[in-house]
Amino acid sequence: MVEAEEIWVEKYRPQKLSEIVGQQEIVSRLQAFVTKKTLPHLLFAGPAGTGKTTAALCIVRELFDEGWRQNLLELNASDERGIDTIRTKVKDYARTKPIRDVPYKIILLDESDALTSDAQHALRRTMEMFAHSTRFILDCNFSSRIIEPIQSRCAIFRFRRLSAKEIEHMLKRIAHGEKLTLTPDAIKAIIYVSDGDMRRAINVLQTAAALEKKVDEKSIYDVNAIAKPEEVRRMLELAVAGKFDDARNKLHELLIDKGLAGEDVLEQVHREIFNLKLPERTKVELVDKLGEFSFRLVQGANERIQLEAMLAHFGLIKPKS
Amino acid sequence: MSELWVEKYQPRKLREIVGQSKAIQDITSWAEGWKKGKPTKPAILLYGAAGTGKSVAAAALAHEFGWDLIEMNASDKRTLSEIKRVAGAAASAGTLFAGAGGRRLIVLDEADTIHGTADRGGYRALKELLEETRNPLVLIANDQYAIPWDLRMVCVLVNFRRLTVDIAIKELQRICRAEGITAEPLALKVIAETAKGDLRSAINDLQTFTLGKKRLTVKDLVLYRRDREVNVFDFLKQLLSVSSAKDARTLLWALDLPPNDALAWIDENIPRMVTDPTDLANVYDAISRADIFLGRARRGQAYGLWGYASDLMSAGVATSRGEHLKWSKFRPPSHIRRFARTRANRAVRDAVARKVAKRCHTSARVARKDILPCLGVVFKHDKKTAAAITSQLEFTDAESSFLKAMG
Repeated sequence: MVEAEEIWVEKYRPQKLSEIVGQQEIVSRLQAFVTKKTLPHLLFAGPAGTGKTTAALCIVRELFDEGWRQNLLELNASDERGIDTIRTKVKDYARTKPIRDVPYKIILLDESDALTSDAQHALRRTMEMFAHSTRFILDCNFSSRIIEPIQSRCAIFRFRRLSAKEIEHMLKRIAHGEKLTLTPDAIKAIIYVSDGDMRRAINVLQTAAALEKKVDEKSIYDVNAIAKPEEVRRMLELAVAGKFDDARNKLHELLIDKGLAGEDVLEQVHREIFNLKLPERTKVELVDKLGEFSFRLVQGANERIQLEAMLAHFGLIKPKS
Repeated sequence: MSELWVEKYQPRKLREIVGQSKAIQDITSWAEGWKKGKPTKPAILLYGAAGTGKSVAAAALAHEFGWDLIEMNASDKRTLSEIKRVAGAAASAGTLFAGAGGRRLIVLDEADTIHGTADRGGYRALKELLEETRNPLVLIANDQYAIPWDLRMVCVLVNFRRLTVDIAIKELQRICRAEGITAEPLALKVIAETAKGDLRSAINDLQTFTLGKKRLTVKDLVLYRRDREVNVFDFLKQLLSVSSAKDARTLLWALDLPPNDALAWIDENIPRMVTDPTDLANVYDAISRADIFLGRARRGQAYGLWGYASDLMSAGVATSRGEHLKWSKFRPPSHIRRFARTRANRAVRDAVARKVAKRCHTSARVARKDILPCLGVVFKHDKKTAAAITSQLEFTDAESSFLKAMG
């Protein structure tokens, strides 16, 4: 790349497997695949920002060297319109031969657990059909959301959240590279708000650094409020206060104006629940409800209607006095 | 409603069909042709507005010629191969009542919706079917031009015209006599005119307005729908007062809206009027369950599930809404207006998200959620970096202003 990279999550993304921070056991096994140039289908499961995509990109780079871009098809299940587009793209792509001495090309399917189970069965057939010429790397948050027949065809790797030390290591590297002053309290704050998610940690740092070259604890918490919309919490408060109309309006704003996915809103709600002033038992009951709505979304229900129904259930809560 | 009048008074014979003498003549001579074997044009295309007698004519035709009637909906490809199997079967085999010629009359309703619902192969399959068929075929469509010309070429084209007001009035009078109803002539005229040549809707309306009555006056028609929205508003109003599950269901049946649209109207309006939180949660259980069935119907192409969805959104909502309602004005689904209002902004947002997603090897969804808010701050406060990112990702002016406004 000639131009300097300005988005830090890209600028500091590891280029080789050996540069990946954390996930040592996974990395060493992946390295063995690369050395032998034999690759099974891979399933990378784990939370966001733990290195799944990075590991996949490193594998491709090391297998194909400078020809890696031609031998990689990146697809994203949440962006493609249904399994048919995915199938067509895979078909078109798999038609041409791989360029170097590796006898297959790689297809990286990100967020593959966004596919319904019907779509996954179709994906499985596609995997079979092109097995002679392609290898799939499937990224997902939860391997349990991937149907058994796909799981059994893949080598499964579970990525864990990054430790405080691992995140600190990366933050210091970036601070050095960008000539930032990063106070120890700021590092602690980033570790706290990022929750083992490296992408989030780096995004928060870049945002704070855009405001001030000296990054301290306060600037991190300020930035975090921007990066993580308070609106979800506000929406829940409205719903609990019985202001259903306003809560619903807020929901529409999040889904339509901001373009958040229904599942992402649910995830935020899930995170917020334990912080709300509610009886402990109620929190657990709500989590149960959320799980039900989340399942419905996976099954293809309408996210607006299902989340409105969720808000109606929040209206039943008697706040702790 | 014990029996629908449109069915009760449906013509059984071709000559009983009113206002379509030319069409009936054409249909008969085409069908006569089949007596001597497969004619050059094996299919007939009946086209015209709704409620003009197309389906009725097909049924009457089968009845008169002693053919078995097989009605199929052509809107998905799976059924098409099924149709092929049925149509291609030997004419003598298969039918139990091998009457004159022992043929089957295959009727494909909604032939103009094949395109778009199934894949592009739909019409090709249909053309093959016409070549292979050993049985007479009737295609029914509203718009003849929605069907490709090469397919039309091998069909006898028969137009069903909108019925004149006079003819519609005569039919309504006939039914009134049979049902023992006295109707003001003006009332029948209003119904006939509003139907705009659609006899089926005229008869349905007549039945609705005389429900439980033996007299029909113009006054009864004050609430007569002038357009679709009035009808929806009326429906919502009644849904808030109806008390039996069956009545709620009947209400929804009378509403001329596809189930998805009906659900959107119900979802927009009914919850706003429910005051008790428990009732609200119950109402939403019904609405969200209805939505689940609609989703299943759509994905599995199992449209039989619409029945359950409809019952949940009508009877389910009506029986859980409670007694304490706060009235406010009905309004069209607000999310549709919101989509329209924010269209331009969303287009810019999504263009930015796609560029960022591609660059950062992630989805537009993650970009919108996690990266755009950060970039917003960068764009607002750090001009130099903003300029560099803008040139790197080739943002347009609108796109970089969008990010700046976000921060």
